[in-house]
Amino acid sequence: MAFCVFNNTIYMNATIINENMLYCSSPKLPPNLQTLPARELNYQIKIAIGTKHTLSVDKVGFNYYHDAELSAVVGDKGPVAGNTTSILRGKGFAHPNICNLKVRYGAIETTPKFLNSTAIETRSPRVNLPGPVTISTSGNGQNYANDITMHYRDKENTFTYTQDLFVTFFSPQQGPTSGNTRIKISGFGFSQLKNDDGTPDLSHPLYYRFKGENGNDKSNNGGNGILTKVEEQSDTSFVVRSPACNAETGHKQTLEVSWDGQNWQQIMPGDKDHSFTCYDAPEVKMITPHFGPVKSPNNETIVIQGLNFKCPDGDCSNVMVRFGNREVNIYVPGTILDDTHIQCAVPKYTKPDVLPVEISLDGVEYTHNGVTYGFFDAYLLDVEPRLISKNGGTPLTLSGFGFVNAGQGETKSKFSVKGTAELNCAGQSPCYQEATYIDKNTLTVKTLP
Amino acid sequence: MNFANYTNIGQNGFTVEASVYNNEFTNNNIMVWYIYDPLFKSISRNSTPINLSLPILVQTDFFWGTNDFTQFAKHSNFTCRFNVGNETYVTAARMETMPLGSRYENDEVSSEKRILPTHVLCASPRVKTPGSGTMDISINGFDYSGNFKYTFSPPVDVYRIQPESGPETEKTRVKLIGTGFLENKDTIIQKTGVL
Repeated sequence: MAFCVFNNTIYMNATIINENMLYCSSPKLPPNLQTLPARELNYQIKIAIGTKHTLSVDKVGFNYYHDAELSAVVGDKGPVAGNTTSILRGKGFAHPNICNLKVRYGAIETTPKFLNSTAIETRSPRVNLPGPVTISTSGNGQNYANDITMHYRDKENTFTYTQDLFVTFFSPQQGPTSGNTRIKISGFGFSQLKNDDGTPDLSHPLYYRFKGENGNDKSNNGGNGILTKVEEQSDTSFVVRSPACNAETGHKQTLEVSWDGQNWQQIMPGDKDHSFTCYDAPEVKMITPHFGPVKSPNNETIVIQGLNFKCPDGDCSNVMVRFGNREVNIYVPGTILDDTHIQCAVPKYTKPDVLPVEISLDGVEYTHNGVTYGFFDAYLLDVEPRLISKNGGTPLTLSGFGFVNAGQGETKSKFSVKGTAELNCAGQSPCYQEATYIDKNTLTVKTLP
Repeated sequence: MNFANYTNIGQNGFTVEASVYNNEFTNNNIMVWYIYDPLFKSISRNSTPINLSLPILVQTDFFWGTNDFTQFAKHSNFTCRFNVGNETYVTAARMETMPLGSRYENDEVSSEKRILPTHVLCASPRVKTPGSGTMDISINGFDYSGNFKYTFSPPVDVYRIQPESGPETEKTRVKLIGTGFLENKDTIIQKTGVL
């Protein structure tokens, strides 16, 4: 029978391992002593073997410390590969009696770097399975603090391991240098962070950035230290926007995503060393002719004049011309004549209208220059006002549809009489007056005196 | 300058068509009419408080001998425009016979016996600040004429009545304290009733 005698009064059972070693447990410090200064938080230890009256000389003591308390984990997510740096905030890290400060991620122990009494720095160890783990601290490498709340994750002491995203589809892989191309990435594990009830935890978005081939990402998303969230995030897909490219960044961009802004995973097609290629943005400047009749019996064609009509990677099979906007439109294939001209057929449009014409070199991203083509078939619905002064100069508003701006001298109004009156201008009847095109539904003309 | 020689102003109309390319004109027969501009002679009031919208009668010569009342009734768009400082206010207006409403008694009679309008009736606008300006009238909402001087006076308001009560059987001299009584040249009418 052996005992460890703490403070000459508290006998704790001891287990003799060999003639040089025995184990015993320290007693709990009474509450009234826990408020003592650190230097007084100790018990002298004696050994009693055989009977309780055979005591050794008290040469060693046992010190007590207050358990450290965690209040926050800064950098609370990281990949299963580990090595994520986190700052643990709390109190009690600098207690003088702490002899062997350790941090445990779940069951894996690590040695932190002491920063100050309220912060320590840790690196996550490698694990095999993703998911949340409890972080606990120990002042002696043996006794770890209990979890704050059983069965629930407390953000004050939880670190979540994430698995690498598995990408199956990435499109488009090229876009104009002006940027803002909508890129959709499909795959798995895009909303792997869950709440306690298993639902996706939307408070932890996925961030992304692009790195240019020149290694200079200052002009790219996320490169200025501001994290950019992905769009339309679901478990199987998300959307990012391409960055603007220039000579500084280079035209080859690598997409990287991260849950925490610290550990970045590169996303790129398997057969490439980059994710996205920028090409010089095309620009539509003029259309010739820029109007034509509705339901023309001829197969009309137009030539679109602009800049940077260069097919990406020399592939011109996806050149398209869109008549209309993103919602209501007609697409026709385009033929590149040279770097500044594209030819296409005018679609058979069934009503008078003025439509914006935009081009795409990859079949996905279209220009947005707003140059229009008009399908004219003028029809008047109303004229305001109907009573006009004989002094002239009254502005008439001609409302209808099918108006196009065919240029100076083409837009006209005609005043002609009905009935017995006579109307002539400079001896000729009817009278013609140049009108002004306002929009596809409005013309104006001033009355003659 | 190009001029149109037109006979029968005020009676027969003419059509307006449009072409946007290659002289291919529409054929929609939208009619308009040249008219003799009505002559606006006088207005029934030339001042109103800024916070009141009051009727204004404009004595008008419509030249019914040459202008066609039917087209006026059908296509006119009478408005009154008030320019005060940098602000412009436009109120709706209409043709009226005198006494007011007498035209409606004769709507069913033949055009020869119909009482034709002699006035334009519009309302003064409520404006932001007092001031003087001009009032013009338009028959079509575009061509304005008249150029009558018009003043918007401080608002008429009553703050207090002294005394606040009196005997049922006698008249009591009542003193009203407020603003806008002197500046406004209009007759002040007091209305009393049961609260």
